Amino acid sequence: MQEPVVTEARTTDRELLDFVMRTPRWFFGSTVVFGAILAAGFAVFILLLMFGLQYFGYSHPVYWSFPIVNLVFWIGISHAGIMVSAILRLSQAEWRRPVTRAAEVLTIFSLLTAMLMPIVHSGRPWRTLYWEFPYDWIRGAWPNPRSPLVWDPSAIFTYLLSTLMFVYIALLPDLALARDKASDPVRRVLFTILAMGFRGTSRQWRIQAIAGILLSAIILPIFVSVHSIVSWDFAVTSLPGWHNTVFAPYFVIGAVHSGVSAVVTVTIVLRKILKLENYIKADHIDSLARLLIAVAVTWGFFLFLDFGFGLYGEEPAEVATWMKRTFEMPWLVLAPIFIFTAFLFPVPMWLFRNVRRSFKWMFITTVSVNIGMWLERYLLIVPGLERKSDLQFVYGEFTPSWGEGIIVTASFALVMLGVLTFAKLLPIIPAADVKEGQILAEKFAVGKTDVPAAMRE
Amino acid sequence: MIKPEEAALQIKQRPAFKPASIRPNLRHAAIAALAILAAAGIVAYIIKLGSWGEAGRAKWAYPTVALMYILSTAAGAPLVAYASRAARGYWALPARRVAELYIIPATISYILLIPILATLPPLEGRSNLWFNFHAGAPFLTDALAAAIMVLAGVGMLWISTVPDLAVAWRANGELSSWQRALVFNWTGTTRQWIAARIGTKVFGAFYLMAYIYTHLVLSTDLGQALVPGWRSGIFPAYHALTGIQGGLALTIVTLFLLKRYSSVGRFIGNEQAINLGKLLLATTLLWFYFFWSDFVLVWYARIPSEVAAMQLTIAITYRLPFILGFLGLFLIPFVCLIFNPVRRNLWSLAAVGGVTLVGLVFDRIRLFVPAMSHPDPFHHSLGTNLPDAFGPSALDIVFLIGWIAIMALAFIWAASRLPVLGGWELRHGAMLRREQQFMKGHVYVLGKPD
Repeated sequence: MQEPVVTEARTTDRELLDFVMRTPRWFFGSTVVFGAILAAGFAVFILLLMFGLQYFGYSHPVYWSFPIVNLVFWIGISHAGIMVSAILRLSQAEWRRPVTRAAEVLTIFSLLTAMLMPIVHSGRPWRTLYWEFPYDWIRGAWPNPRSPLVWDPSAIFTYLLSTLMFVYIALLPDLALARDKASDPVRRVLFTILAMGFRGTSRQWRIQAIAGILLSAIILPIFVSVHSIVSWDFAVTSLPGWHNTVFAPYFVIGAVHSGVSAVVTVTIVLRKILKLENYIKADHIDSLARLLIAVAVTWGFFLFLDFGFGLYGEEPAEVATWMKRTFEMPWLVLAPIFIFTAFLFPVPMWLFRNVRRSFKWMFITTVSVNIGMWLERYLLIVPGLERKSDLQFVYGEFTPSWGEGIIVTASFALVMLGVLTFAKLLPIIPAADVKEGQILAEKFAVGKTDVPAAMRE
Repeated sequence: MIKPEEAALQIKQRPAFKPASIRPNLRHAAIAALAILAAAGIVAYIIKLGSWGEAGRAKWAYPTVALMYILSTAAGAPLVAYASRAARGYWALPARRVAELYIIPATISYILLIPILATLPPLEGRSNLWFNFHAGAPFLTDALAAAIMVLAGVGMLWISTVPDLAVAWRANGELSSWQRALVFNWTGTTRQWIAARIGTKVFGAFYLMAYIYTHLVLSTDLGQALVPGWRSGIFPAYHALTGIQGGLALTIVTLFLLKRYSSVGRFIGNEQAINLGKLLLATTLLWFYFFWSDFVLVWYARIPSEVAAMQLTIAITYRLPFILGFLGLFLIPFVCLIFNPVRRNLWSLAAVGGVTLVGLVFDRIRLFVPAMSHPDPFHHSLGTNLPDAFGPSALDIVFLIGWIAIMALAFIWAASRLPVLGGWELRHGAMLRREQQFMKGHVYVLGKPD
């Protein structure tokens, strides 16, 4: 049980809106740095438009590489918001309150970043548009509704729209608060429009709470379907190393593993730079770490199922793919790094209470998880394509290019800039939720001890 | 406001609450019927052993269904206790011991496991999870996995029962030396309490891991490894999940029966129904997700060996058990459980739980009968000629029903020897929960000390 936040309501409002109302100098510096990285990424994209996929050095048979790895990675990260926010809201976990907004915002920006990746991946996007529009039902050729490449945009757009609704409903009280506190007339008008007349009447609170709970319940199946469908992009093929029935839950739980880790990383960074020490405490990080232990162990089980049942059939092509992934260079080096950073290093560390309550160690371990999870997707995608198959006469080894590296870096910069910009415009910790937690917090004596407690309606 | 039963909140620390066991009576018609069915089950088991070698593995197809059914329901139930302890779910306090006691029937199922494992063919020339690793696989490895699971479960049950047993035995006078040994000389010191709390969680965590591992190896070795071309990575996870679903359903049905027919019923009520109902709904939805993840890949990739295996277990040969399993494990529970009134009432929830338990029998039939009855697992595909369905003989039906009765009787025996409610956990819960006035209404305050 977390110690409740003990600040006056006015102090809470002031502290949480501080970054919204006042702009520190470092904000401009960080914006310039992220903007420069984004500009570099955009320049690479222009070169890609000019020269096509050969600019990345792609040749048969590996055409799926960093952009697709990035697509899977960022969609994975986007699962954090819903995992932390919707599930914990439904299960009435009190400790969720200060971390939900950051998780939801991370969901939105990582999803938007993920959606850019297929455009980059296509090299010359107008050709993709030519295939997609107008939609050709008559030919029965690609694109057709039975293709996972059509399921993908449907699932991702649905997820994005429902996440935006979910975040907006949760934001309403804070938008009203920002409206009431804004001194700048432009901001006041903007927040007035966005707050949609929220005045905090009991009816409005009731409707807002019910809408939040309903959306939490509705969004969960969408959250599961999105990464399942992404996994089926790979698994419905009969390509060795990709065709495994465990892929859907394996991808979903992997997404939650990397997503919740990313939430911890972002929360720790925001706590430091926005001076939110009164609101994000060791207890919150501890609870997230406990959640991560359960998630990581489940993910480990599914990883074993993927590996075990890859080899189970003893089919030569399947075995050869796993051998390549594990024993040939450069995968021989990357595979142990993946296992170590995604599982063997962080999970045993989280078993120690001191680590779970240390911001420094939690930052290190959660960054480590995401290094590993990015590598996991890379190890999954490239070796499977690179291996020479039966009727294939042109093949070669894949070497990543600088351009791809810049695209990956730019995608990180885009997400960070997005989260930071959001935090500049609106409170990154839900003020209304934190204050509700303060009201519901109780304490009562059991024997000689005061036990922290929470009210339940 | 969802709150516990009044009796559960009224338990005070002094005078000590004496947790009760149930008192079954053979003169009761239901108990007598169970005893007769159980005796028939034992006779059927002896007949099967007596005709060892005839008809080979196929003769053990339906006993395998009985084994995997018990391992899915009785072995799944203790996870309800562990999960609620790990998540500090106070709503489950009256259900924890009930769920844990099911480890006793799960232990008895070991008698079935040994002869069934002995019928398995050699590993060479067929798909297997052991990659031709010969040191005892699959017989010793599978038996060891199940043994570790059972030991961890018994450990969890024993540690959680020690404080209650100490109270119950002390009420009858001084403890004998063996009683003192069994309760680790329990006097209720702070150190002992800390050890008891940590012990239940540690044994529970081991039990969960052993449960998953046991389901992984047994569902593979007794199931898909015996059907050429059946290669599904999600299958062990599906099997473990349906086990948890069965465990939940069994706990719900047992709680309903205890509420209806025993003196401990006053501690059990709608608080348990609401939360168990949510969990049952969640596992029901997960059933569909896991099934669909398996099905869509086979349907889409159209690899002939996988399609043939799917036709055997789902679409053609064992279509009827699949449909009945689908109805019992997904469609009927889903349609019922989405309605709040069904989930909020222990009676209606128990009816849904009963349907789930019946559906699980048919699901296990369509998974393990084709595997155990298939004479030739040494290929990579079933080919185009699917084997015929292997129907149950009268002896098989008696066996199946008899062993389910043995499971029920084993639970009743355990519940008559050990307190069926966790008295110390109920007291702990009563101390940490209270109702109070808040503004114009009443709220329920929940203390969470750690």
